[in-house]
Amino acid sequence: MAGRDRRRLGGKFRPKNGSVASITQEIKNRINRRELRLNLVAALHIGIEAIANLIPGVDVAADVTMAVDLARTATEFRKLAIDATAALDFVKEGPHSLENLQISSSGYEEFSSYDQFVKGELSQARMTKRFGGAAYGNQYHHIVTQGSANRENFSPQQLQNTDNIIILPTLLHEVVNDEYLGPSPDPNMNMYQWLQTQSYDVQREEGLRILRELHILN
Amino acid sequence: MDVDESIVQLGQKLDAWWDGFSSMLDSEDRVAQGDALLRGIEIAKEFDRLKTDGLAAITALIDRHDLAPDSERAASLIRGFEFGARLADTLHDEFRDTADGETKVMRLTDAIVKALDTIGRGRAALAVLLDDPDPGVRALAGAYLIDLLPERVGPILHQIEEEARGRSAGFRAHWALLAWEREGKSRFNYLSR
Repeated sequence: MAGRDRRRLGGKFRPKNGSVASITQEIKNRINRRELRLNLVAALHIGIEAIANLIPGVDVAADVTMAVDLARTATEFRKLAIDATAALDFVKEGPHSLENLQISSSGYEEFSSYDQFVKGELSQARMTKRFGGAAYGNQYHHIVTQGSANRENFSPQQLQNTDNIIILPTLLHEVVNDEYLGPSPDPNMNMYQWLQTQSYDVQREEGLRILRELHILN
Repeated sequence: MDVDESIVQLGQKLDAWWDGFSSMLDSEDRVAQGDALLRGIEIAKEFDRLKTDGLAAITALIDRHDLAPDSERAASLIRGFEFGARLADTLHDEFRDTADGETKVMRLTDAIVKALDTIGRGRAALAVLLDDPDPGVRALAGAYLIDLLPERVGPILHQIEEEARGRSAGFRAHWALLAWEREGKSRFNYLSR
């Protein structure tokens, strides 16, 4: 089993000692880091634009003081640090069961809209009970996505229910969303759009598959 | 060094930068923070430059309209396709740059396949890449060829789907198989629509 996992990781990402524990840790690190990287680049772009706006015509490297002020006000980086911690806490526990990520502890519930779900479910107490201190670094994720064509094709109850909505750390939710925003088999659509051309069952199956492939779900 | 290898190294550099910078977020040392931030900005600019260079290299190859024989032109397009597949995978796997980077590269590989289809053996010439050592290259070639060579491409994609789980190559193989099984189409079929 360990040998099989090592093959999957590929040469350059293969942990040096090759143990199952170290491979698992490698996967966790890579999930967390990969998503963080794009966020960091995005946040640094804010820095590039802000400096360009603040110091017209002056080379970026010329004014360290201005950059310092920018750093102190760069709440984006602080938010990233919080999100990264929440994601790390989550992945440290390994892949989760679907039941573990579902918010309701009282069986299946459905709602007439997302707003109704949020009013009924999004209480700090419930999130804290389930996720402890990381509550603020979490978001809801719809396994069968709720926007665009799906809003027209499926009833609110099919989309807004406790089987379809799970809670994920913000950073890992972005990892999942990035998979949906990538290229699909059809060059005219991204995966989010292409999957919405498929049946509810296929969308759910593929939505769960993405979560498993990303080692979020077991 | 290839662009994809440079992107891998830049990712590691960014990780190291964040390790240092995040630990000084609450520091009062403004100069150290400013210096670190400027170093981070240089890394972000380098990422942009590598992406731009990679896309430009493929675009230049597609736009090349010299008088080379079809066989040379086809070989050149196939090299560009291979480079594009590796760049798309690196952007996906190292930075999760799917919406922008990977999508832009795939638009260029679409253009390569369309150009290839007008000369020589057409897109069938991509079959040489089904034996490429890189699973991402094999998966991308298979995605355009599955309607043409289903019996050869199907098992290749199934193998990549299993062996490259959670990575760009694995996702690509899976989506190509799903589209083929559910809609009977390759990526080329969608392109020609």
